[in-house]
Amino acid sequence: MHACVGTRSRLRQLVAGVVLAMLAPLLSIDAQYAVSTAAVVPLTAFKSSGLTLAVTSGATQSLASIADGAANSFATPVRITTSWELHPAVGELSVVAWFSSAAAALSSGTASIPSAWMKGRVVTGSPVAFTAFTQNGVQGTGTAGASLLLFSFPILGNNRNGTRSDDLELQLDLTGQPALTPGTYSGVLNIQIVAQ
Amino acid sequence: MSERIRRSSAPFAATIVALLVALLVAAPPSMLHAQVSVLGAQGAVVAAAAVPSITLNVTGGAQHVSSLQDGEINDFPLPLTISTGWDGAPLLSTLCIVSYFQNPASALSNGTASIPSSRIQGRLTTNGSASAWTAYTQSGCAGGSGPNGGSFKLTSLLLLGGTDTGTGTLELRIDLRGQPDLAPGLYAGTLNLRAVIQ
Repeated sequence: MHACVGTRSRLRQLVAGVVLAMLAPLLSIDAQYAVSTAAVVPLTAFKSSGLTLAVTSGATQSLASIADGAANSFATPVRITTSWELHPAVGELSVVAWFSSAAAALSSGTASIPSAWMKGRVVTGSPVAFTAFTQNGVQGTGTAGASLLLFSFPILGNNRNGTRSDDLELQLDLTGQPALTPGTYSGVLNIQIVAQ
Repeated sequence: MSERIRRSSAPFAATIVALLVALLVAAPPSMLHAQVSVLGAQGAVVAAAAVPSITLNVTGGAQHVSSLQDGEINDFPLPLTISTGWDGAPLLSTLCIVSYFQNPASALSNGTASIPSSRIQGRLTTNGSASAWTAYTQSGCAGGSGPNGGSFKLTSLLLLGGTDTGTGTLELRIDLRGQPDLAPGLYAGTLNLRAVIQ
């Protein structure tokens, strides 16, 4: 009887063992993991500086004929569109225009027109009347003696984000000046936003 | 005594045989051919199961938000397509697919400022269990894939074994609602995706 029980017991163990052997991989009774290699996806997101300025029209200004001893107005204004999205710590936003050289805003060979003879006005901004480009820069932006503050306004809680468009009218005022040497005078006017 | 044993052992043997037959019929050959069984001296069985294989591929390329807006939801414009394939999966195992950022505090960074993973959200629009926008604040899959607090489980699926494939579409966005304004700059990071069978 004992021998019989022993034989049956070994038979049970054998059968159970075979079953377990088959079930082990099928039922995942061990704690093995199959892990794929990692797929990687680059992510980028750009946050703009929050200040943009665009000359939307009048980027090139020209006088067909210069009259000595008179104010010569450029025909069309420079349209400036300013957009901002500022941190609450910013207290003021300004837009300044300037020539690189106070002595030679425009030049024709060796002859020059100083910035003091160039005037600008922004009826929606600070120089509502024509004002010479003889100011200093703003917070280091602009050339000393050759700049003009176009507008400036405080940034408060309700205007941290916004956009506006302004027209800068330009004039070459030769009133009381000696006659210019004939030629084509050219130069570059820079316009920049300053947040402070 | 022996009669009692004979009577009681008959249903047991029949059950075992039936189970064996069922398994042999039901189990695909790929699941069976790789196992090696050794009968021990005392009837113990040592089983060396074949480790299943699994692959995961992503198409859709690099993702870019061209103009982050503070206080708003910023969608990545293109979805990702995720394809998974597995072979030799054990019966009643689990397929887990996770996407994650290694550093939850800094999922994307511009060098000095960071966007935490909690501000990045994803959803699986097809074939997944996460169709609602979900932040990357979950734990990863078992086996150490995906850090706690920086993961988003795309699916956790019970498998009946064998070989199969699956695809899904993952959409991503950056939710800046209610957050302080971000410092300007280009924020960059890497999203990782893994599939795990456990």
